[in-house]
Amino acid sequence: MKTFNKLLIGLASVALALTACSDFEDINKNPNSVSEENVQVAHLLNRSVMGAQQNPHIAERIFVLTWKRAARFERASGFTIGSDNDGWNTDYFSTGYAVGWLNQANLAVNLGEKRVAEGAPAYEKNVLQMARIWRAYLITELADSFGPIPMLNKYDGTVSPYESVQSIYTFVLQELKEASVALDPSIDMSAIKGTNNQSDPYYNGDMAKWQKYANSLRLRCAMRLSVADPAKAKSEFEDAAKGSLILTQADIAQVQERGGWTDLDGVMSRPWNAQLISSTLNNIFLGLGGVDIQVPDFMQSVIKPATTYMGMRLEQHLPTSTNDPSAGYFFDGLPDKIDPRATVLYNIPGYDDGTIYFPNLGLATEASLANPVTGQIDGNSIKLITKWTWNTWVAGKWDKYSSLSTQLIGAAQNYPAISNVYRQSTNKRVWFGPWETYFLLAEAAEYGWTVPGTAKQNYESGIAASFDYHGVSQFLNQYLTSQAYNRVGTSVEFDHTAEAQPFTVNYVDGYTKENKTTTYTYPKNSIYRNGLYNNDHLTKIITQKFIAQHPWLPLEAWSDHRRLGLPFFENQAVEVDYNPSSYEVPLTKATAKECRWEFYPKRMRYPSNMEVNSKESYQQAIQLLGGDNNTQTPLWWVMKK
Amino acid sequence: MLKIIKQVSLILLTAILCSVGTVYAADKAEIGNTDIPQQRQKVTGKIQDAMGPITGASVVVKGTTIGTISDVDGNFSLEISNGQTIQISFIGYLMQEIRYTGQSSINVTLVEDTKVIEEIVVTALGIKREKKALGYATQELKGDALIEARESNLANALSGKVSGLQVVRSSNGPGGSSKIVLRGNSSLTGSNQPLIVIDGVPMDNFTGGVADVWGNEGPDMGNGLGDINPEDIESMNVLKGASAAALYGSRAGNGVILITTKSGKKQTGLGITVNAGISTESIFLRPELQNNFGQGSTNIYDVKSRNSWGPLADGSQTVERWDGQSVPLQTFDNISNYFDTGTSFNEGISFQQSFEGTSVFASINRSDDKSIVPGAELDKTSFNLRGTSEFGSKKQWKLDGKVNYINNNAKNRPIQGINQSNAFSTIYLLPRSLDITLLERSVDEDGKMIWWDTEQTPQENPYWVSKYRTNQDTRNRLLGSMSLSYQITDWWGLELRGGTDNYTTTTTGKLYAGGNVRPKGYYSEASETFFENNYSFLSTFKKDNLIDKFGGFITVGGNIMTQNRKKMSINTGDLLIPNLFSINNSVDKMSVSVDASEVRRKMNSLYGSLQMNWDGWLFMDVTGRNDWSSTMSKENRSYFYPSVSLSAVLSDMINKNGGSMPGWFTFAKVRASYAEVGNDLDPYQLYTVYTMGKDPNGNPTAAPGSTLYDPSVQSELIKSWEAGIDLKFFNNRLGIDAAWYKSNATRQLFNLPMDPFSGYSDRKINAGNIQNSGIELMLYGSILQNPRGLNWDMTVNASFNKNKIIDLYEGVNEYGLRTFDDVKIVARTGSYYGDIYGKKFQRVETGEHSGKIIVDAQGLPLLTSDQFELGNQQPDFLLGITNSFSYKNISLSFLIDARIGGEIFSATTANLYRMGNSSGTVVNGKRDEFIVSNTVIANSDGSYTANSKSTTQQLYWERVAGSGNVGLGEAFTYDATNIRLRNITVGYDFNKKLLSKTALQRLRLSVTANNIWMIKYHLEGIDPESVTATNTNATGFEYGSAPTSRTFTFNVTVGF
Repeated sequence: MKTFNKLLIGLASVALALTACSDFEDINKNPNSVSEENVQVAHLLNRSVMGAQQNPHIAERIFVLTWKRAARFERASGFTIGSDNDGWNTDYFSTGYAVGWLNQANLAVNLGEKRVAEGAPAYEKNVLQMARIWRAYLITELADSFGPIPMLNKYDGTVSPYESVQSIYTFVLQELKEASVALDPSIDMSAIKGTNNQSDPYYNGDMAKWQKYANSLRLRCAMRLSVADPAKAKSEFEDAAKGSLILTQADIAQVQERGGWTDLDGVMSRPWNAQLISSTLNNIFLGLGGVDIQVPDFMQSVIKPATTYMGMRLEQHLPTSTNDPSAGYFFDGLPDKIDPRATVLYNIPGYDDGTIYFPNLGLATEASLANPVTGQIDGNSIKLITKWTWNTWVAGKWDKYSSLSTQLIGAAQNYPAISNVYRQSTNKRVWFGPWETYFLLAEAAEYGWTVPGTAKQNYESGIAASFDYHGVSQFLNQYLTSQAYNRVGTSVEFDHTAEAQPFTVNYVDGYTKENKTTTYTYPKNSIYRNGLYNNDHLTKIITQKFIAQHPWLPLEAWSDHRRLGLPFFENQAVEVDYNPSSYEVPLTKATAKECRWEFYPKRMRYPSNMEVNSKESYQQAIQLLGGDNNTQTPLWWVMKK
Repeated sequence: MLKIIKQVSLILLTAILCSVGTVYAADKAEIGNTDIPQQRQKVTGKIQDAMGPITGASVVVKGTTIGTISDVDGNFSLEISNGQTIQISFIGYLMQEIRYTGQSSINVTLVEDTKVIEEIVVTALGIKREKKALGYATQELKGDALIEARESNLANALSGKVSGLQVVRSSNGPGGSSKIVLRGNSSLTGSNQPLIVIDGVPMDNFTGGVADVWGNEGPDMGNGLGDINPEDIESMNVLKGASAAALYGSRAGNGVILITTKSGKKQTGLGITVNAGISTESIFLRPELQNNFGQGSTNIYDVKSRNSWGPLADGSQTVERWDGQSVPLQTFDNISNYFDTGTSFNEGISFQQSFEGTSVFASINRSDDKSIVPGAELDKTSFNLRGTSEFGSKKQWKLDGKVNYINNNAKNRPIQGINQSNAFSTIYLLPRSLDITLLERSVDEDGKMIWWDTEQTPQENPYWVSKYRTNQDTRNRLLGSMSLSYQITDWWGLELRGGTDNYTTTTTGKLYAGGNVRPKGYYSEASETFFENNYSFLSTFKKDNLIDKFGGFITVGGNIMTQNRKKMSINTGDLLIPNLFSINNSVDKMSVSVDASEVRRKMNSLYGSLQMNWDGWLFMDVTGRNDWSSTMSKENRSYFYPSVSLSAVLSDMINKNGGSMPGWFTFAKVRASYAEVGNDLDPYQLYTVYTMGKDPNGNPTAAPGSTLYDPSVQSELIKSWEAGIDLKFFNNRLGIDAAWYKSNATRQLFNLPMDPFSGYSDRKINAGNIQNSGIELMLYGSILQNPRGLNWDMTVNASFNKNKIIDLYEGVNEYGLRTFDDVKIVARTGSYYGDIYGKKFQRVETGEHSGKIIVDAQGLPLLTSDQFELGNQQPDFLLGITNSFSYKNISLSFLIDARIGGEIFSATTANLYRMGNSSGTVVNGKRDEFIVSNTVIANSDGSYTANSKSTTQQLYWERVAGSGNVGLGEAFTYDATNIRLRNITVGYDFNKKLLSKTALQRLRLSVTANNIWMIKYHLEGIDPESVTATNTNATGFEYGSAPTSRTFTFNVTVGF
């Protein structure tokens, strides 16, 4: 029995060992984690700011394929015609991206407030204000894209109530005001400027500039209410305009890009995104400002009149089911007059200048059009020289035209495409430039609000700031006094408000080679003042703002169009009726030449998983939105029909 | 079934062989001296069965202790008197009696006995039990059956062989992963896979299929079970329900598969077996593509178009190709032209032998697989050594040790999903008149990728991918175990065991410069080291007839498990010097991303079982297990799982109580059980913490985790009821094993998605009630039994399972398993797991046109804006029918496998329609305008008129297949029912007589073919088994999946 006892004792001790769990706490501690005490507010803020720079994955989906298309900053179908991508929205509207950035900003504010209450070092008080300003921006980025969202986050596992877009703007305006006031430029900010600890990629700890950023953002947000709540817009705007503002190139809110598939990769750097010039922008550029196109001497031979000559009419190959005034033509040369920024932002097809031209596109040479009878390129085909030409055509549904003219319209090298300068991840991504401040002031002055300077002064300063940014200031004076109309009927000179009248233009019949004439009719932007004005002050201001914001601020340009219906956005081709069940705008062949409010997407859709994953939030959001979760439901601040 | 009995008998034989032999040898000598009958004569004879000589059969003179056993050639000799009777017996065969009347030799052919042998099965913790005593369902598979399937992934060999078991395949070639689901899905987010235990040691059966439809998460790295060499497996026992698995406590919630590997058995001859196989692999089902129309749109050729809505491609029209050449327009069979025939070579040598209580099994196995995807390869090398020794004066000690080393090398595992690198979706969606072989030279003079389409979404040249976007991975794995057992007294035994599963996987990824996605290329390295060590003891007490007819069996055991997983990955970002693949060659040191993580866990357990029997026919088992897990909070880290099961062998009861069963009714048993099992958390999921990082400039960032944890969560609890009957008729020639079960997975630990504005993407909760209930049926019959003629056995496995969501979480009635644009797969309260939702055609609801589709002014269907239930991804019914025939030396078996019911959404098919590639876009070789049938136009007054507006195939499919991002749900949700001839194996065993003149003991030739014939299915060239990924529970969604393959294997087995 002795053996038995021993074994029993042995077993009992084994059993005891098996139930001992003294090391369990230690084992279950994640070695990669840190606790709150080790975290600085600036670290949280920096994470949020970095994420919002958008790595190539999300930038392609949101910045390029959604915002740039909504703003007509590139020629495309997709979101231009209202058809969005749920996968992209899902991505962006998640903790991995935009909502996560806002959450991190909220966390920075929460922790900052806690630290300040506990008597944090002085610099953290300023970091808290930076976080509030940044959070205010992020709230508007999401709200302007989707609509109602919760702004705050207590980080206790609950969801703060969804707020209407109206309350969001009330809050954001208040925050910007308070944060701007609370910023103290006299505090030493070296704690966030040290080696390996530069947590302010915007201004490297310059609090005076953060104040300017806050005040300028407040101008932007106040102006957003110009239609929905003009009184509040006015009072907030006037108050903000009293503060320091982003007015010089040195004040620009911008972040240095870096490349290498990181958060700091350029937002427009994906090599397969050709980012061709849109018809909207091209019609604005052509003839505007009366300045000669800047090309080397050897190209002078191909220069043709931008306004009195339309090019070759090819109506069997280019659709005319659109209200694009340039539809149906191929411009067989370079326009004599064009906005001087056009050839800085976009390359001339077939010309490798070494800077603007993006080599992936290939150099344009020529393109043959298929015989419309046989559908083939044969003896009856027309061969077009595309080298040194300047063209774009609406996207949309081309039906048979796309096949017939595929060598021309299917080849990116035949279009001006966004400059290589914006693709190399060596630029600085601009978040707020001085031109925007001036155009906001110009708009306010135009409304008769009390702001520094007149509408004209601010308008001209805005153009000057943009010219400065693009390095074309030498043409400024000539430009500002130009009364030449572009293809939309808008001129530059502020006081020149005469509406352009239809006139006779020349063209060449592409099939018979005959020189012919026709009457050029300016487009009717029916959603703005019944389509009667293409050259009033506001159209001029927003047209110039649209150009100046290009290409960095597509979301702003889209918001301006949603708010004012400016500038004129043409319809894309409608050779086949659009399909609203796929969220496309309700354009039909019959309405293709009309300009209607419902022909533009108004917002991004909440992701489809929201209805499943957070039903309560979804219902709240939809109720506050006041319409279905589709791309047509307007946000609170948009223009009224 | 006969085969199984024979196998069991062989195991038993080897166990008793030596002792029997010894006894008879001794008797012969002793008896000879004391009791010598007069007129004794020596008689010789030969004992054999249908296959040849039987070694070790006992030959006894009836009524005496005189006897002997047959030698290796089946011969025996014996001294006997006239008139005495010889009894010849061998386990597994009917005993024969022959009266000696002076014959010079006695030749006996034994007939297999199908009745006598009690089936012995391996149950939880490796305890061997009589099958009749079990109160729950288990199903055993012999190694032979697994080997004959010739599947490179062991998991796939289980298809159709076990009732209640579903294999979900990823079809990603040789290294692809597969997933096993037993009795339905019980978890929303867990793997739903059973625990794999090899020789008493748990194995990590990770699933490497990626869930992301974009393919962004990398290639399918295979599943853990695929590492095991099927040749080493003696048997596999599937413990389906919680009761069977209850002793494994945590982790046993989805059942357990117990694998017993071969240990050395006494062999005639040297004991060496050489095995060599060669297989070919080809695409089984391919999408049905049209061969009439070429690239373009609106019947016009368009060199830039990605679609095939162009003109007739009959060679009559000359067009300018993408590379500027003028060529006749024709279509190409790009699938055949691009994909290769896969080949696989498999060689193995094994040795097994047993000497005086010590036995050894050793094997080396090597396989080289070349996939149908050019450039993709996998080789596996496995060394296995197992030794067991019984020693001590009464052989009361036993040592059992095993070392299994596995080395896997894979190159270029294919990328899944709609990724630009997925060769399958690229080739499927290529315009029909584009010849892929022209792109074989995939790089131009400047080192840039050549691809026909440079301007749209960046699809990559698949030839380029195979050479310039490469990945490679190596896994070194060690599975080892050692156990020592000691039989202290005749009723008390003790066993100590230690085991490890230890592997390191290293991967490298190279992207050459010149591609269109990341033109500067990159290089990445990653490694993952995992180990799980288990140390356990088991003490067994056994006493029969303890009190009256009561017998008992008690086991007490304990286990300490430690687990550690360490991962490290580095990616260079853009490379400085093109195509120099080194971590140091990054353009920018700051953009080198490093990711490191370490996860540790520990679990201590104590468990015990009490097994009682009454009179050998009534059995009751009670088990209990307590786990202490490091991953739970202190309050909840200890939890207990009980089970109880009852089994009554009615036939024995009747017989023992003086009754008798009808002659044809051989055996009857009823059983019932209840059990609770469950699961703990993964490590580090109690508290939400911050992680530090760096921005691309090298400055610090901090971020909180994305999951909100709750330290108060408890372990998961699965409650399971089971009842069954086991009937055998006609001397075991017909049997039915039926089971009913119901299990409720409650208190599930899963991540409930949260509104991202909460700060978290999801939260860990402890909720839900998912019920699986079903019936399993196994039927087997020996239809023909003729030792010298034709034998026909048939096994039918059938299972019905209903996977119902009783409850999710307070206020939540829907959980998204996958949402992709307008199609979603969800678990919804009150419904079944995996409902598929999507949009439908707008239809007239009432009146004379009721049910007709409403069209717009163009004659095109209008689609709903809401989503409707379109189906469910779960099968209603699974059926596997195996027929085995043998005639003399030839054997033939085939498996018909059926999945009945359930739906699958195929986004690949939608894409093929949208782009005009599908054969369904062509009617009789034409694309004439047509009026969509059964359609009406809505009038302004609310009435409807029959539609007379015709449309084109292109417009119609652009509307239906181009709706949203993945097409109209209703149009592309298919019945996933499929019936296929899964496997045929033909084997020929050379006659032992013939081989006796050679050094060979065994020579077998066999041919196996898998996926031979799709008898019935409803998709259009997409195998419903080819799911996008295996590590998702949304298996009813297909998008860009690799096709399944058909294999032919020729195999030679030689035994020395």
